[in-house]
Amino acid sequence: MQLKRSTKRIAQDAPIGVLYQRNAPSILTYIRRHISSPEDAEDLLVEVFLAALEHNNLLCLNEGEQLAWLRRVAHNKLIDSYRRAKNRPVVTLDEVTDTLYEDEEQTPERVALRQEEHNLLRSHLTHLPELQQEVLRLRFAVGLRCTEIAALLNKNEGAVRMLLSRSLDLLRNIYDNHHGREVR
Amino acid sequence: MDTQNNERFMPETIDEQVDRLSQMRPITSAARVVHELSALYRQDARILEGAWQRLEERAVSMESSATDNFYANEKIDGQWSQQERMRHMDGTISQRRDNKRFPRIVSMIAATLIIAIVVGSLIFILNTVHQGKTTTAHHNQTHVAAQGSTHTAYDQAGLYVTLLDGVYRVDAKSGKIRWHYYMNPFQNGGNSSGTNRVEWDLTIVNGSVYFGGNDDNGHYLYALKTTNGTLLWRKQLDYDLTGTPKVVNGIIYVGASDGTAADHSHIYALDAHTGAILWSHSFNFRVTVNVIDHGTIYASSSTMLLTLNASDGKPGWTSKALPSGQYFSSLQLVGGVLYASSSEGSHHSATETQYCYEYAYDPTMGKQLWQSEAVNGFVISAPTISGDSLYFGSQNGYVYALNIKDGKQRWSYNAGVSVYPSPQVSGGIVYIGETSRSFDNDSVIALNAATGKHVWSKTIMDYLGSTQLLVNNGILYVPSDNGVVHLLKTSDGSQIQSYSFSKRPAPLSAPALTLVQ
Repeated sequence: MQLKRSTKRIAQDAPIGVLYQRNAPSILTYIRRHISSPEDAEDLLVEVFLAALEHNNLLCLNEGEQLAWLRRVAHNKLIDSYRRAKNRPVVTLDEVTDTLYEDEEQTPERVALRQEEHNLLRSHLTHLPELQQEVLRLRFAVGLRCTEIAALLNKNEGAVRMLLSRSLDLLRNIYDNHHGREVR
Repeated sequence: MDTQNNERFMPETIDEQVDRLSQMRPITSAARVVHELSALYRQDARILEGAWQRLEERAVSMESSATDNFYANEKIDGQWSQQERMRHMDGTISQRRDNKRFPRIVSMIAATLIIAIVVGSLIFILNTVHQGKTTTAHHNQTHVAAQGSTHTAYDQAGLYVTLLDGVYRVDAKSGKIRWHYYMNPFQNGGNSSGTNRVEWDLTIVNGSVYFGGNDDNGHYLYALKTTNGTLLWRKQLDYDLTGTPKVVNGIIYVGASDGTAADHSHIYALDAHTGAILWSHSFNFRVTVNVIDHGTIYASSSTMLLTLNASDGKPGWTSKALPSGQYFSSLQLVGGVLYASSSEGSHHSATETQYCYEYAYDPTMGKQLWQSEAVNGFVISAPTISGDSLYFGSQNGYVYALNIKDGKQRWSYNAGVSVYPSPQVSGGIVYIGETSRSFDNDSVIALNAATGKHVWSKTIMDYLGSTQLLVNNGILYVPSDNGVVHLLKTSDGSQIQSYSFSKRPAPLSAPALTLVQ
């Protein structure tokens, strides 16, 4: 994950940068298991790492303990967010009509359908073994080839190819079953 | 075409195959998987980048006010050390934290002594008068306050509605607003989440409305008059409330936590008439006050149940900790038994399935009486106990009924995507709110409480989320996210009427309802 820089900069090897790069994808995966809205997920992710910023002794923990600490905070924040869901503000469609339709892909129907597909896919992804999830992430999120993934994970390249193809076949079968082969 | 649809991913050429499929239109399921995976990970990457940019800005602003490039609160090293010390003071009655508050300590001690004498006398008198009446189960999850019959002198009957812009008292049937205590959600240029916020549900006792709220200056406990909504007092607390205030014998009991993994938290006892803190107890874990009964506070941390003496905060028993990874989400006392729920909170592997459990405990010693079988998903609302059954909904979309004697499952019902609110039970029917996948056509479902058989469903073209339903006198009150309260007939789900708060100036949100009979 390459972190973009804001105009004010924090060194990428600063503790918060290292902590974020190492743990943010995992925390986001956890959050997104429970929250479908990307905006809400981002808010929660920020809250978790803001808590990390304000926690003085986090660096004294080892990597496993840091991740456990962050997951615990994410859990607390998730519960709070559910409990506060009744106060969740909603912007009426009328207020945003003028800006919504410039891009057809951004119409409410398309956005909703796409989000539903994402939710379905994500729910199946989280049930794959962890190694398969990691291979998929490295292939699609980071854009690595099988050779590079194998080197990174210290695995046999053939095994990575097999894992990747099996994972994709599994997801494809799930899609077929879910959509009743309604491929157009 | 069929060959294309059946295209399998080949290990030998998988990289090239993915590249090719990502270039073509998603007309086959294989191409569709590749496109969707790419889109999903792009979305995650955008979230990670967006969050990092916001975080970086905050880190830079903190850095500018502190010498350390990671932790801005290094500059208040002394204060932090004090907080650390406070963590090790678990088990002791907390002291105020810094010298600036010293004058307040003296005045508070004096006030506390006076109040303690007055309150002690009051407690004695009230205990004598109400002996035996407090054995009634505390059904806080129903939000239907039952104290009206013993306090008919107070003008407090009706429906209370909490929205982002404050608290309303309305006529339950017509929705006509009687008063509105306004809290500006955009004070000081706040963002869309609002800088002022009403927290949790309301507690309405003896002509007063108690609730927690935040603004830019901190966390507060509010007390309003039920007659006209005027502010009686508000008391600043150190942290966010962790639950609804409980009021017994003129004393408010409430938990508050800093919301971080550090889990600094307190249980407060406050004078219901003035808001003065009678005592507080510090913990180094998040704690919620759930029930007050016979002079005992039943509270829960994430992994333990515990009791305190309601008069002075002295600790009582502590239950055994839950198995690793399980966290308590609710606790209630019904018929002399404590019932609790737990869900899985921390995951060391994303492939793990989440499980939740229900438990029964002996309230005298905290001994566990039974633990239910594991249920898939997680629970965020309190279970509902009616007759000899315990009902709860899970995020996995199922509603369950258990036998409260042994925790064995009686029936389950697949309601849809998720069931967040506590089920409501009345007249042999269980009413649940179900969240759909699209979040805008959720349903209210009525089930036979004995068998779990479907009785009727009513689609509400809106998001219900975790907002609580209410059932009272044949009417089901269903709040939805566009600021509308739907009134349905409990007999068949047909709509009686609805009233909307959507024209209020504040952002829309689902109303939280509290009904006082």
